[in-house]
Amino acid sequence: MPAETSSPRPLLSVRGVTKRFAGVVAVDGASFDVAPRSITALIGPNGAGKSTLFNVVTGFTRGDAGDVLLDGEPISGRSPHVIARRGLVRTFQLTKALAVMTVLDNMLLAAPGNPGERLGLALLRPVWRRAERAARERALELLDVFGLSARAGDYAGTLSGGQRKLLELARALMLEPRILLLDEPLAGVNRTLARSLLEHIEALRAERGLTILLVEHDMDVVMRHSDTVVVMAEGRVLTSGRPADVQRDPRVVEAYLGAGASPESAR
Amino acid sequence: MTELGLLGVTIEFLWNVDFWINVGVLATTYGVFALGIQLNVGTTGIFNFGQAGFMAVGSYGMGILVVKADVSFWLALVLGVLIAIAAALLVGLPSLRLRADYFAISTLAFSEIVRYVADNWDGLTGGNLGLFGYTDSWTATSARIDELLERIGVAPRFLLPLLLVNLAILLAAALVVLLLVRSPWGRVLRAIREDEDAARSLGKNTFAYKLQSLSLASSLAAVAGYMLAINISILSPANFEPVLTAYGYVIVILGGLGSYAGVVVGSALLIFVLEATRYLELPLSDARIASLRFMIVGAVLMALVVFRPQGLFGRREELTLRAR
Repeated sequence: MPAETSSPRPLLSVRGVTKRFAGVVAVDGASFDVAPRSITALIGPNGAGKSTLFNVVTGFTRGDAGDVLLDGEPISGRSPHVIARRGLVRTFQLTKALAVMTVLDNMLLAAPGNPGERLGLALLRPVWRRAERAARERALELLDVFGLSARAGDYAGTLSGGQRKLLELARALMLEPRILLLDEPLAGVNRTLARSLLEHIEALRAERGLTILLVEHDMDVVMRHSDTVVVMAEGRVLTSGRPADVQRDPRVVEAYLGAGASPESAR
Repeated sequence: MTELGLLGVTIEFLWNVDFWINVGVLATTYGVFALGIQLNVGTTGIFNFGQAGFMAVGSYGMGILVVKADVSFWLALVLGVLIAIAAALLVGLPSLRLRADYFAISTLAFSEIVRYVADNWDGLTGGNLGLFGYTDSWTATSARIDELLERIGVAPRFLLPLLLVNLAILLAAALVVLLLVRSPWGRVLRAIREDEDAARSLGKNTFAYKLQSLSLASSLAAVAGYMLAINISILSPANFEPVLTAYGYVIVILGGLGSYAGVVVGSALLIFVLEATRYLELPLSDARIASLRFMIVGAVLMALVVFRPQGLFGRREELTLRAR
Protein backbone atom coordinates (compact mmCIF):
# COMPACT_ATOMS: atom_id res chain seq x y z
CA MET A 1 0.00 0.00 0.00
CA PRO A 2 2.36 2.74 -1.16
CA ALA A 3 -0.30 5.48 -0.99
CA GLU A 4 -0.71 4.93 2.71
CA THR A 5 2.94 5.22 3.54
CA SER A 6 3.00 8.73 2.06
CA SER A 7 -0.35 9.83 3.51
CA PRO A 8 -0.62 9.40 7.26
CA ARG A 9 -4.28 8.32 7.24
CA PRO A 10 -4.74 6.03 10.26
CA LEU A 11 -5.99 2.51 9.64
CA LEU A 12 -7.93 2.55 12.87
CA SER A 13 -9.25 5.68 14.46
CA VAL A 14 -10.94 5.81 17.85
CA ARG A 15 -12.83 9.09 18.38
CA GLY A 16 -14.22 10.05 21.78
CA VAL A 17 -15.43 6.55 22.66
CA THR A 18 -17.35 6.44 25.92
CA LYS A 19 -18.82 3.49 27.75
CA ARG A 20 -20.66 3.53 31.05
CA PHE A 21 -21.74 0.55 33.12
CA ALA A 22 -24.52 1.38 35.58
CA GLY A 23 -23.12 4.84 36.30
CA VAL A 24 -19.47 3.83 36.27
CA VAL A 25 -17.61 5.34 33.36
CA ALA A 26 -15.32 2.59 32.10
CA VAL A 27 -14.16 4.45 29.01
CA ASP A 28 -14.38 8.22 29.03
CA GLY A 29 -14.00 9.85 25.64
CA ALA A 30 -10.98 7.86 24.52
CA SER A 31 -9.38 8.94 21.24
CA PHE A 32 -6.31 7.64 19.46
CA ASP A 33 -5.12 6.51 16.04
CA VAL A 34 -3.37 3.41 14.82
CA ALA A 35 -1.11 3.97 11.82
CA PRO A 36 -1.08 1.36 9.08
CA ARG A 37 1.65 -1.28 9.43
CA SER A 38 2.40 -0.16 12.95
CA ILE A 39 2.58 -2.15 16.15
CA THR A 40 0.67 -0.07 18.65
CA ALA A 41 0.55 -1.00 22.31
CA LEU A 42 -2.34 -0.05 24.54
CA ILE A 43 -1.18 0.08 28.14
CA GLY A 44 -2.46 1.31 31.47
CA PRO A 45 -3.03 0.18 35.02
CA ASN A 46 -5.72 -2.37 35.83
CA GLY A 47 -9.17 -0.86 35.46
CA ALA A 48 -7.96 1.74 32.96
CA GLY A 49 -10.63 0.60 30.50
CA LYS A 50 -8.42 -1.16 27.96
CA SER A 51 -10.49 -4.31 27.71
CA THR A 52 -13.75 -2.40 27.57
CA LEU A 53 -12.32 -0.23 24.81
CA PHE A 54 -11.25 -3.37 22.95
CA ASN A 55 -14.76 -4.72 23.27
CA VAL A 56 -16.31 -1.50 21.97
CA VAL A 57 -13.91 -1.32 19.02
CA THR A 58 -14.60 -4.94 18.05
CA GLY A 59 -18.37 -4.62 18.47
CA PHE A 60 -18.71 -6.97 21.44
CA THR A 61 -19.91 -4.07 23.58
CA ARG A 62 -21.96 -1.17 22.30
CA GLY A 63 -20.37 2.17 23.14
CA ASP A 64 -22.47 5.02 24.54
CA ALA A 65 -20.76 7.72 22.50
CA GLY A 66 -17.97 8.25 20.03
CA ASP A 67 -16.93 6.72 16.73
CA VAL A 68 -14.60 4.02 15.57
CA LEU A 69 -13.31 4.30 12.00
CA LEU A 70 -11.64 1.47 10.13
CA ASP A 71 -9.71 2.90 7.18
CA GLY A 72 -12.03 5.91 7.28
CA GLU A 73 -15.24 3.85 7.38
CA PRO A 74 -17.35 4.02 10.53
CA ILE A 75 -17.75 0.62 12.22
CA SER A 76 -19.17 1.67 15.58
CA GLY A 77 -22.42 -0.07 16.41
CA ARG A 78 -21.76 -2.89 13.93
CA SER A 79 -21.97 -6.52 15.00
CA PRO A 80 -18.72 -8.32 15.85
CA HIS A 81 -19.01 -10.61 12.82
CA VAL A 82 -19.44 -7.68 10.45
CA ILE A 83 -16.41 -5.92 11.92
CA ALA A 84 -14.36 -9.11 11.69
CA ARG A 85 -15.30 -9.52 8.02
CA ARG A 86 -14.25 -5.95 7.32
CA GLY A 87 -10.75 -6.93 8.37
CA LEU A 88 -10.55 -6.02 12.05
CA VAL A 89 -9.97 -9.30 13.87
CA ARG A 90 -9.40 -9.80 17.57
CA THR A 91 -8.08 -12.43 19.92
CA PHE A 92 -9.07 -12.83 23.54
CA GLN A 93 -7.20 -12.50 26.80
CA LEU A 94 -8.34 -15.98 27.79
CA THR A 95 -7.78 -18.04 24.68
CA LYS A 96 -10.87 -19.30 23.00
CA ALA A 97 -9.74 -22.49 21.35
CA LEU A 98 -12.82 -24.40 20.26
CA ALA A 99 -11.93 -27.36 22.45
CA VAL A 100 -14.05 -30.18 21.05
CA MET A 101 -13.16 -29.36 17.45
CA THR A 102 -9.96 -30.40 15.75
CA VAL A 103 -7.16 -27.91 15.27
CA LEU A 104 -7.80 -28.05 11.53
CA ASP A 105 -11.54 -27.45 12.02
CA ASN A 106 -10.66 -24.41 14.15
CA MET A 107 -8.73 -23.08 11.18
CA LEU A 108 -11.28 -24.01 8.50
CA LEU A 109 -14.04 -22.38 10.50
CA ALA A 110 -12.27 -19.03 10.24
CA ALA A 111 -11.94 -19.12 6.43
CA PRO A 112 -14.21 -16.43 5.03
CA GLY A 113 -16.76 -16.83 2.26
CA ASN A 114 -17.21 -20.61 2.23
CA PRO A 115 -20.55 -21.17 0.41
CA GLY A 116 -20.98 -24.43 2.35
CA GLU A 117 -21.67 -22.36 5.45
CA ARG A 118 -25.06 -21.44 4.01
CA LEU A 119 -27.86 -23.75 5.06
CA GLY A 120 -29.26 -23.79 1.53
CA LEU A 121 -25.98 -24.96 0.00
CA ALA A 122 -24.61 -27.13 2.79
CA LEU A 123 -25.97 -30.34 1.25
CA LEU A 124 -24.58 -29.52 -2.19
CA ARG A 125 -21.02 -30.63 -1.63
CA PRO A 126 -19.85 -29.95 -5.22
CA VAL A 127 -20.74 -26.28 -4.73
CA TRP A 128 -18.40 -25.80 -1.78
CA ARG A 129 -15.80 -28.51 -2.30
CA ARG A 130 -13.36 -26.17 -4.03
CA ALA A 131 -13.63 -23.42 -1.38
CA GLU A 132 -13.16 -26.03 1.32
CA ARG A 133 -10.08 -27.44 -0.37
CA ALA A 134 -8.52 -23.99 -0.80
CA ALA A 135 -9.21 -23.19 2.85
CA ARG A 136 -7.63 -26.47 3.87
CA GLU A 137 -4.46 -25.67 1.92
CA ARG A 138 -4.17 -22.26 3.51
CA ALA A 139 -4.90 -23.67 6.94
CA LEU A 140 -2.18 -26.29 6.62
CA GLU A 141 0.29 -23.65 5.43
CA LEU A 142 -0.47 -21.45 8.44
CA LEU A 143 -0.34 -24.36 10.86
CA ASP A 144 3.07 -25.14 9.43
CA VAL A 145 4.24 -21.56 10.02
CA PHE A 146 3.10 -21.78 13.64
CA GLY A 147 4.51 -25.25 14.20
CA LEU A 148 1.14 -26.89 14.72
CA SER A 149 1.02 -29.16 11.64
CA ALA A 150 1.53 -32.30 13.66
CA ARG A 151 -1.53 -31.46 15.77
CA ALA A 152 -3.92 -30.70 12.89
CA GLY A 153 -6.10 -33.74 13.56
CA ASP A 154 -6.16 -33.42 17.35
CA TYR A 155 -8.88 -31.80 19.39
CA ALA A 156 -7.88 -28.21 20.12
CA GLY A 157 -8.67 -28.92 23.76
CA THR A 158 -5.63 -31.18 23.96
CA LEU A 159 -3.21 -28.35 23.10
CA SER A 160 -1.06 -26.73 25.76
CA GLY A 161 -1.84 -23.16 26.81
CA GLY A 162 0.93 -21.79 24.63
CA GLN A 163 -0.13 -23.84 21.61
CA ARG A 164 -3.64 -22.50 22.01
CA LYS A 165 -2.28 -18.96 21.81
CA LEU A 166 -0.48 -19.88 18.59
CA LEU A 167 -3.63 -21.52 17.23
CA GLU A 168 -5.68 -18.46 18.04
CA LEU A 169 -3.23 -16.25 16.19
CA ALA A 170 -3.04 -18.60 13.20
CA ARG A 171 -6.82 -18.87 13.15
CA ALA A 172 -7.24 -15.11 13.15
CA LEU A 173 -4.96 -14.96 10.10
CA MET A 174 -7.33 -17.23 8.17
CA LEU A 175 -9.63 -14.18 7.89
CA GLU A 176 -6.87 -12.24 6.11
CA PRO A 177 -7.27 -9.32 8.50
CA ARG A 178 -5.98 -5.82 7.89
CA ILE A 179 -5.58 -5.16 11.58
CA LEU A 180 -5.21 -7.58 14.46
CA LEU A 181 -6.29 -6.66 17.97
CA LEU A 182 -4.48 -8.84 20.47
CA ASP A 183 -5.76 -8.76 24.05
CA GLU A 184 -2.78 -9.60 26.26
CA PRO A 185 -1.27 -12.11 23.83
CA LEU A 186 1.58 -12.92 26.21
CA ALA A 187 -0.45 -13.37 29.39
CA GLY A 188 0.35 -16.70 31.02
CA VAL A 189 2.89 -17.62 28.38
CA ASN A 190 6.45 -18.74 29.21
CA ARG A 191 9.48 -16.76 28.03
CA THR A 192 10.42 -19.01 25.13
CA LEU A 193 6.93 -19.04 23.72
CA ALA A 194 6.54 -15.30 24.35
CA ARG A 195 9.63 -14.72 22.24
CA SER A 196 8.29 -16.93 19.49
CA LEU A 197 4.91 -15.17 19.58
CA LEU A 198 6.63 -11.78 19.33
CA GLU A 199 8.69 -13.00 16.39
CA HIS A 200 5.50 -14.12 14.69
CA ILE A 201 3.86 -10.77 15.33
CA GLU A 202 6.84 -8.85 13.96
CA ALA A 203 6.94 -11.15 10.93
CA LEU A 204 3.24 -10.60 10.26
CA ARG A 205 3.85 -6.89 10.07
CA ALA A 206 6.97 -7.24 7.95
CA GLU A 207 5.76 -9.94 5.56
CA ARG A 208 2.01 -9.42 5.36
CA GLY A 209 1.84 -5.71 6.04
CA LEU A 210 -0.43 -6.33 9.00
CA THR A 211 -1.25 -3.63 11.51
CA ILE A 212 -1.29 -4.69 15.14
CA LEU A 213 -2.90 -3.18 18.21
CA LEU A 214 -2.19 -5.02 21.41
CA VAL A 215 -2.92 -4.74 25.08
CA GLU A 216 0.18 -5.73 27.03
CA HIS A 217 1.40 -5.46 30.58
CA ASP A 218 5.02 -6.43 30.08
CA MET A 219 6.77 -3.05 29.76
CA ASP A 220 9.95 -4.61 28.37
CA VAL A 221 7.94 -6.02 25.50
CA VAL A 222 6.03 -2.81 24.97
CA MET A 223 9.18 -0.69 24.88
CA ARG A 224 11.09 -3.04 22.64
CA HIS A 225 8.48 -4.14 20.13
CA SER A 226 5.97 -1.35 19.64
CA ASP A 227 6.21 1.77 17.47
CA THR A 228 3.54 3.67 19.32
CA VAL A 229 2.29 3.42 22.86
CA VAL A 230 -1.14 4.60 23.93
CA VAL A 231 -1.48 5.05 27.68
CA MET A 232 -4.89 4.83 29.30
CA ALA A 233 -5.83 5.65 32.87
CA GLU A 234 -9.27 5.87 34.43
CA GLY A 235 -11.00 5.46 31.08
CA ARG A 236 -9.13 8.28 29.36
CA VAL A 237 -6.22 8.31 26.97
CA LEU A 238 -3.47 9.97 28.97
CA THR A 239 -0.94 10.28 26.21
CA SER A 240 0.42 8.49 23.20
CA GLY A 241 3.69 8.54 21.32
CA ARG A 242 6.96 6.73 20.81
CA PRO A 243 7.77 4.30 23.63
CA ALA A 244 10.82 6.23 24.85
CA ASP A 245 8.88 9.52 25.08
CA VAL A 246 5.92 7.94 26.81
CA GLN A 247 8.17 6.26 29.34
CA ARG A 248 9.60 9.63 30.39
CA ASP A 249 6.20 11.32 30.61
CA PRO A 250 5.62 12.24 34.28
CA ARG A 251 1.85 11.79 33.89
CA VAL A 252 2.38 8.16 32.90
CA VAL A 253 4.62 7.50 35.87
CA GLU A 254 2.05 9.11 38.11
CA ALA A 255 -0.83 7.08 36.68
CA TYR A 256 1.04 3.88 37.42
CA LEU A 257 2.21 5.08 40.84
CA GLY A 258 -1.35 6.07 41.61
CA ALA A 259 -2.33 2.49 40.85
CA GLY A 260 0.47 1.29 43.12
CA ALA A 261 3.24 0.51 40.65
CA SER A 262 5.71 2.12 38.30
CA PRO A 263 5.75 1.28 34.62
CA GLU A 264 9.02 -0.56 35.14
CA SER A 265 7.53 -2.94 37.66
CA ALA A 266 4.08 -3.28 36.11
CA ARG A 267 4.48 -6.74 34.70
CA MET B 1 -46.78 -68.99 30.14
CA THR B 2 -43.22 -67.75 29.89
CA GLU B 3 -42.71 -65.92 33.12
CA LEU B 4 -39.78 -64.64 35.10
CA GLY B 5 -41.68 -65.12 38.32
CA LEU B 6 -39.48 -63.12 40.64
CA LEU B 7 -39.42 -60.02 38.47
CA GLY B 8 -43.07 -60.27 37.68
CA VAL B 9 -42.52 -59.71 34.01
CA THR B 10 -44.41 -61.73 31.46
CA ILE B 11 -42.11 -61.88 28.49
CA GLU B 12 -44.37 -63.54 25.96
CA PHE B 13 -45.15 -60.07 24.53
CA LEU B 14 -41.66 -60.22 23.05
CA TRP B 15 -42.97 -62.75 20.51
CA ASN B 16 -45.87 -60.53 19.56
CA VAL B 17 -45.32 -58.75 16.24
CA ASP B 18 -47.84 -56.05 17.10
CA PHE B 19 -45.78 -55.14 20.16
CA TRP B 20 -42.77 -54.54 17.98
CA ILE B 21 -44.73 -52.62 15.36
CA ASN B 22 -46.04 -50.37 18.12
CA VAL B 23 -42.54 -49.89 19.55
CA GLY B 24 -41.29 -49.12 16.03
CA VAL B 25 -43.96 -46.54 15.30
CA LEU B 26 -43.38 -44.76 18.60
CA ALA B 27 -39.59 -45.03 18.45
CA THR B 28 -39.44 -43.53 14.95
CA THR B 29 -41.73 -40.71 16.08
CA TYR B 30 -39.58 -39.94 19.10
CA GLY B 31 -36.46 -40.40 16.99
CA VAL B 32 -37.41 -37.66 14.54
CA PHE B 33 -38.51 -35.51 17.49
CA ALA B 34 -35.17 -36.02 19.28
CA LEU B 35 -33.10 -35.40 16.14
CA GLY B 36 -34.11 -31.76 16.52
CA ILE B 37 -33.13 -31.69 20.19
CA GLN B 38 -29.78 -33.27 19.31
CA LEU B 39 -29.21 -30.62 16.63
CA ASN B 40 -29.98 -27.82 19.11
CA VAL B 41 -28.42 -29.18 22.27
CA GLY B 42 -25.74 -31.59 21.13
CA THR B 43 -24.50 -29.70 18.10
CA THR B 44 -25.40 -26.01 18.56
CA GLY B 45 -25.37 -25.86 22.35
CA ILE B 46 -28.74 -24.09 22.65
CA PHE B 47 -31.19 -25.55 25.15
CA ASN B 48 -34.52 -25.88 23.43
CA PHE B 49 -37.08 -26.97 26.04
CA GLY B 50 -40.01 -26.26 23.75
CA GLN B 51 -39.76 -29.10 21.26
CA ALA B 52 -43.17 -30.47 22.36
CA GLY B 53 -44.63 -27.02 21.65
CA PHE B 54 -43.19 -26.96 18.14
CA MET B 55 -44.56 -30.46 17.63
CA ALA B 56 -48.00 -29.26 18.72
CA VAL B 57 -47.87 -26.21 16.45
CA GLY B 58 -46.90 -28.30 13.43
CA SER B 59 -49.40 -31.11 13.93
CA TYR B 60 -52.29 -28.87 15.00
CA GLY B 61 -51.45 -26.59 12.08
CA MET B 62 -51.74 -29.53 9.71
CA GLY B 63 -54.89 -30.88 11.39
CA ILE B 64 -56.69 -27.55 11.49
CA LEU B 65 -55.89 -26.81 7.86
CA VAL B 66 -57.33 -30.17 6.78
CA VAL B 67 -60.35 -30.28 9.09
CA LYS B 68 -61.37 -26.62 9.31
CA ALA B 69 -60.02 -25.11 6.11
CA ASP B 70 -60.46 -28.10 3.81
CA VAL B 71 -56.86 -27.92 2.64
CA SER B 72 -55.52 -31.11 1.05
CA PHE B 73 -53.69 -33.37 3.51
CA TRP B 74 -50.48 -33.33 1.46
CA LEU B 75 -50.39 -29.56 1.13
CA ALA B 76 -51.17 -29.28 4.85
CA LEU B 77 -48.11 -31.39 5.63
CA VAL B 78 -45.96 -28.77 3.89
CA LEU B 79 -47.80 -25.83 5.45
CA GLY B 80 -47.58 -27.35 8.93
CA VAL B 81 -43.81 -27.39 8.67
CA LEU B 82 -43.83 -23.76 7.54
CA ILE B 83 -46.04 -22.86 10.50
CA ALA B 84 -43.61 -24.63 12.83
CA ILE B 85 -40.72 -22.67 11.30
CA ALA B 86 -42.67 -19.44 11.80
CA ALA B 87 -43.17 -20.42 15.45
CA ALA B 88 -39.45 -21.09 15.82
CA LEU B 89 -38.66 -17.64 14.43
CA LEU B 90 -41.27 -16.07 16.70
CA VAL B 91 -39.70 -17.69 19.76
CA GLY B 92 -36.10 -17.40 18.61
CA LEU B 93 -35.97 -13.82 17.34
CA PRO B 94 -36.44 -12.20 20.74
CA SER B 95 -34.97 -14.94 22.94
CA LEU B 96 -31.91 -16.24 21.08
CA ARG B 97 -30.16 -12.92 21.68
CA LEU B 98 -30.56 -13.44 25.40
CA ARG B 99 -28.37 -15.46 27.69
CA ALA B 100 -28.67 -19.21 27.23
CA ASP B 101 -30.79 -19.79 30.33
CA TYR B 102 -33.35 -17.16 29.31
CA PHE B 103 -33.68 -18.83 25.94
CA ALA B 104 -34.33 -22.17 27.63
CA ILE B 105 -37.05 -20.67 29.83
CA SER B 106 -38.63 -18.88 26.87
CA THR B 107 -38.95 -22.08 24.88
CA LEU B 108 -40.49 -23.91 27.83
CA ALA B 109 -42.97 -21.06 28.35
CA PHE B 110 -43.82 -21.11 24.64
CA SER B 111 -44.47 -24.85 24.82
CA GLU B 112 -46.92 -24.42 27.67
CA ILE B 113 -48.64 -21.45 26.05
CA VAL B 114 -49.27 -23.54 22.94
CA ARG B 115 -50.75 -26.31 25.03
CA TYR B 116 -53.03 -23.99 26.98
CA VAL B 117 -54.20 -22.29 23.80
CA ALA B 118 -54.94 -25.69 22.26
CA ASP B 119 -56.86 -26.62 25.40
CA ASN B 120 -58.97 -23.48 25.50
CA TRP B 121 -59.53 -22.39 21.90
CA ASP B 122 -62.20 -25.07 21.41
CA GLY B 123 -63.54 -23.58 18.20
CA LEU B 124 -60.24 -24.03 16.43
CA THR B 125 -58.60 -26.99 18.13
CA GLY B 126 -61.48 -28.99 19.56
CA GLY B 127 -60.13 -28.28 23.05
CA ASN B 128 -59.64 -31.29 25.26
CA LEU B 129 -62.16 -33.27 23.22
CA GLY B 130 -59.49 -33.34 20.57
CA LEU B 131 -59.16 -32.64 16.87
CA PHE B 132 -59.88 -35.46 14.43
CA GLY B 133 -60.89 -36.12 10.85
CA TYR B 134 -57.60 -35.34 9.13
CA THR B 135 -56.60 -38.92 8.40
CA ASP B 136 -58.68 -39.76 5.29
CA SER B 137 -55.85 -39.27 2.80
CA TRP B 138 -53.53 -41.27 4.99
CA THR B 139 -56.02 -44.13 5.35
CA ALA B 140 -56.23 -44.37 1.54
CA THR B 141 -52.43 -44.31 1.25
CA SER B 142 -52.08 -46.88 4.00
CA ALA B 143 -54.48 -49.20 2.15
CA ARG B 144 -52.41 -48.83 -1.00
CA ILE B 145 -49.23 -49.74 0.90
CA ASP B 146 -51.06 -52.78 2.29
CA GLU B 147 -51.90 -53.82 -1.28
CA LEU B 148 -48.28 -53.52 -2.31
CA LEU B 149 -47.18 -55.52 0.72
CA GLU B 150 -49.70 -58.24 -0.05
CA ARG B 151 -48.33 -58.50 -3.58
CA ILE B 152 -44.91 -59.36 -2.15
CA GLY B 153 -46.49 -61.80 0.26
CA VAL B 154 -46.73 -59.79 3.46
CA ALA B 155 -50.06 -60.06 5.23
CA PRO B 156 -51.65 -56.70 6.12
CA ARG B 157 -51.15 -55.68 9.69
CA PHE B 158 -52.42 -52.72 11.65
CA LEU B 159 -49.91 -49.83 11.66
CA LEU B 160 -47.39 -51.69 9.50
CA PRO B 161 -47.68 -49.15 6.62
CA LEU B 162 -47.17 -46.31 9.10
CA LEU B 163 -44.13 -48.07 10.55
CA LEU B 164 -42.56 -48.41 7.10
CA VAL B 165 -43.21 -44.78 6.21
CA ASN B 166 -41.96 -43.64 9.63
CA LEU B 167 -38.80 -45.70 9.27
CA ALA B 168 -38.08 -44.20 5.85
CA ILE B 169 -38.67 -40.69 7.21
CA LEU B 170 -36.48 -41.24 10.27
CA LEU B 171 -33.59 -42.62 8.24
CA ALA B 172 -33.88 -39.86 5.62
CA ALA B 173 -34.10 -37.16 8.30
CA ALA B 174 -31.15 -38.58 10.23
CA LEU B 175 -29.08 -38.75 7.03
CA VAL B 176 -29.91 -35.17 6.03
CA VAL B 177 -29.15 -33.82 9.50
CA LEU B 178 -25.93 -35.81 9.66
CA LEU B 179 -24.77 -34.45 6.28
CA LEU B 180 -25.68 -30.93 7.37
CA VAL B 181 -23.78 -31.27 10.63
CA ARG B 182 -20.71 -32.52 8.78
CA SER B 183 -20.81 -29.65 6.28
CA PRO B 184 -19.17 -26.25 6.81
CA TRP B 185 -22.60 -25.09 8.02
CA GLY B 186 -22.49 -27.68 10.79
CA ARG B 187 -18.96 -26.63 11.64
CA VAL B 188 -20.26 -23.16 12.49
CA LEU B 189 -22.92 -24.70 14.74
CA ARG B 190 -20.28 -26.71 16.57
CA ALA B 191 -18.18 -23.57 16.98
CA ILE B 192 -21.17 -21.81 18.54
CA ARG B 193 -21.54 -24.73 20.95
CA GLU B 194 -17.87 -24.47 21.91
CA ASP B 195 -17.65 -20.69 22.25
CA GLU B 196 -20.11 -18.32 20.66
CA ASP B 197 -17.92 -15.23 21.11
CA ALA B 198 -15.04 -16.95 19.35
CA ALA B 199 -17.33 -17.75 16.42
CA ARG B 200 -18.48 -14.14 16.28
CA SER B 201 -14.92 -12.88 16.39
CA LEU B 202 -14.23 -15.08 13.34
CA GLY B 203 -16.93 -13.37 11.28
CA LYS B 204 -19.86 -15.74 11.89
CA ASN B 205 -23.36 -14.35 12.34
CA THR B 206 -24.07 -16.70 15.21
CA PHE B 207 -27.57 -15.36 15.82
CA ALA B 208 -28.64 -16.34 12.30
CA TYR B 209 -27.16 -19.81 12.71
CA LYS B 210 -28.92 -20.36 16.03
CA LEU B 211 -32.21 -19.34 14.39
CA GLN B 212 -31.59 -21.79 11.56
CA SER B 213 -30.78 -24.56 14.01
CA LEU B 214 -33.97 -23.88 15.97
CA SER B 215 -36.08 -23.68 12.79
CA LEU B 216 -34.74 -27.00 11.57
CA ALA B 217 -35.45 -28.60 14.96
CA SER B 218 -38.96 -27.17 14.85
CA SER B 219 -39.50 -28.63 11.35
CA LEU B 220 -38.44 -32.03 12.63
CA ALA B 221 -40.82 -31.61 15.58
CA ALA B 222 -43.64 -30.89 13.11
CA VAL B 223 -42.86 -34.06 11.15
CA ALA B 224 -42.76 -36.07 14.39
CA GLY B 225 -46.10 -34.43 15.18
CA TYR B 226 -47.56 -35.81 11.93
CA MET B 227 -46.35 -39.28 12.86
CA LEU B 228 -48.07 -38.98 16.22
CA ALA B 229 -51.22 -37.43 14.74
CA ILE B 230 -51.62 -40.28 12.24
CA ASN B 231 -50.79 -42.93 14.80
CA ILE B 232 -53.43 -41.85 17.32
CA SER B 233 -55.91 -40.27 14.84
CA ILE B 234 -56.81 -37.54 17.30
CA LEU B 235 -54.87 -34.53 18.49
CA SER B 236 -55.35 -33.55 22.08
CA PRO B 237 -53.45 -31.02 24.21
CA ALA B 238 -52.51 -33.79 26.64
CA ASN B 239 -50.25 -35.28 23.96
CA PHE B 240 -47.93 -32.29 24.12
CA GLU B 241 -46.96 -31.96 27.74
CA PRO B 242 -43.39 -30.83 28.50
CA VAL B 243 -42.52 -34.37 29.58
CA LEU B 244 -42.41 -35.19 25.89
CA THR B 245 -39.48 -32.80 25.50
CA ALA B 246 -37.91 -34.44 28.55
CA TYR B 247 -38.14 -37.80 26.77
CA GLY B 248 -36.31 -36.21 23.88
CA TYR B 249 -33.53 -35.18 26.25
CA VAL B 250 -33.42 -38.68 27.74
CA ILE B 251 -32.95 -40.08 24.22
CA VAL B 252 -30.16 -37.60 23.49
CA ILE B 253 -28.37 -38.43 26.74
CA LEU B 254 -28.86 -42.19 26.27
CA GLY B 255 -27.53 -42.11 22.74
CA GLY B 256 -24.74 -39.65 23.45
CA LEU B 257 -24.53 -35.89 23.11
CA GLY B 258 -23.85 -34.94 19.50
CA SER B 259 -24.36 -38.46 18.11
CA TYR B 260 -27.09 -38.95 15.51
CA ALA B 261 -26.79 -42.73 15.43
CA GLY B 262 -27.27 -42.39 19.19
CA VAL B 263 -30.62 -40.68 18.63
CA VAL B 264 -31.91 -43.57 16.52
CA VAL B 265 -30.72 -46.24 18.95
CA GLY B 266 -31.57 -44.20 22.04
CA SER B 267 -35.17 -43.67 20.98
CA ALA B 268 -35.60 -47.36 20.20
CA LEU B 269 -34.17 -48.24 23.61
CA LEU B 270 -36.26 -45.74 25.57
CA ILE B 271 -39.50 -46.72 23.87
CA PHE B 272 -38.73 -50.41 24.30
CA VAL B 273 -38.18 -49.96 28.03
CA LEU B 274 -41.28 -47.78 28.38
CA GLU B 275 -43.48 -50.21 26.44
CA ALA B 276 -42.04 -53.42 27.87
CA THR B 277 -42.55 -52.22 31.44
CA ARG B 278 -46.27 -52.05 30.70
CA TYR B 279 -46.16 -55.81 31.08
CA LEU B 280 -44.96 -55.67 34.67
CA GLU B 281 -47.10 -57.90 36.83
CA LEU B 282 -46.82 -57.01 40.47
CA PRO B 283 -49.26 -57.03 43.36
CA LEU B 284 -49.66 -53.27 43.00
CA SER B 285 -52.34 -50.93 41.73
CA ASP B 286 -52.14 -49.88 38.07
CA ALA B 287 -51.27 -46.32 39.07
CA ARG B 288 -48.32 -47.55 41.09
CA ILE B 289 -47.10 -49.77 38.29
CA ALA B 290 -47.33 -46.78 35.97
CA SER B 291 -45.11 -44.82 38.35
CA LEU B 292 -42.74 -47.74 38.66
CA ARG B 293 -42.18 -47.71 34.90
CA PHE B 294 -40.78 -44.22 35.13
CA MET B 295 -38.66 -45.17 38.10
CA ILE B 296 -37.16 -47.93 36.00
CA VAL B 297 -36.40 -45.49 33.19
CA GLY B 298 -34.86 -43.18 35.78
CA ALA B 299 -32.72 -45.98 37.22
CA VAL B 300 -31.50 -46.99 33.75
CA LEU B 301 -30.61 -43.40 33.01
CA MET B 302 -28.79 -42.96 36.32
CA ALA B 303 -26.82 -46.15 35.80
CA LEU B 304 -25.87 -44.89 32.36
CA VAL B 305 -24.73 -41.52 33.63
CA VAL B 306 -22.62 -43.22 36.29
CA PHE B 307 -21.06 -45.94 34.16
CA ARG B 308 -21.13 -44.42 30.69
CA PRO B 309 -21.57 -40.66 31.04
CA GLN B 310 -20.89 -40.08 27.35
CA GLY B 311 -23.95 -42.15 26.40
CA LEU B 312 -24.01 -45.18 24.11
CA PHE B 313 -22.42 -43.50 21.11
CA GLY B 314 -20.77 -40.44 22.64
CA ARG B 315 -17.05 -39.99 22.96
CA ARG B 316 -15.66 -39.97 26.47
CA GLU B 317 -12.71 -37.84 25.36
CA GLU B 318 -15.08 -35.01 24.44
CA LEU B 319 -16.51 -35.01 27.95
CA THR B 320 -13.10 -34.76 29.59
CA LEU B 321 -12.07 -31.99 27.19
CA ARG B 322 -15.13 -29.98 28.22
CA ALA B 323 -14.35 -30.48 31.88
CA ARG B 324 -10.88 -28.98 31.49
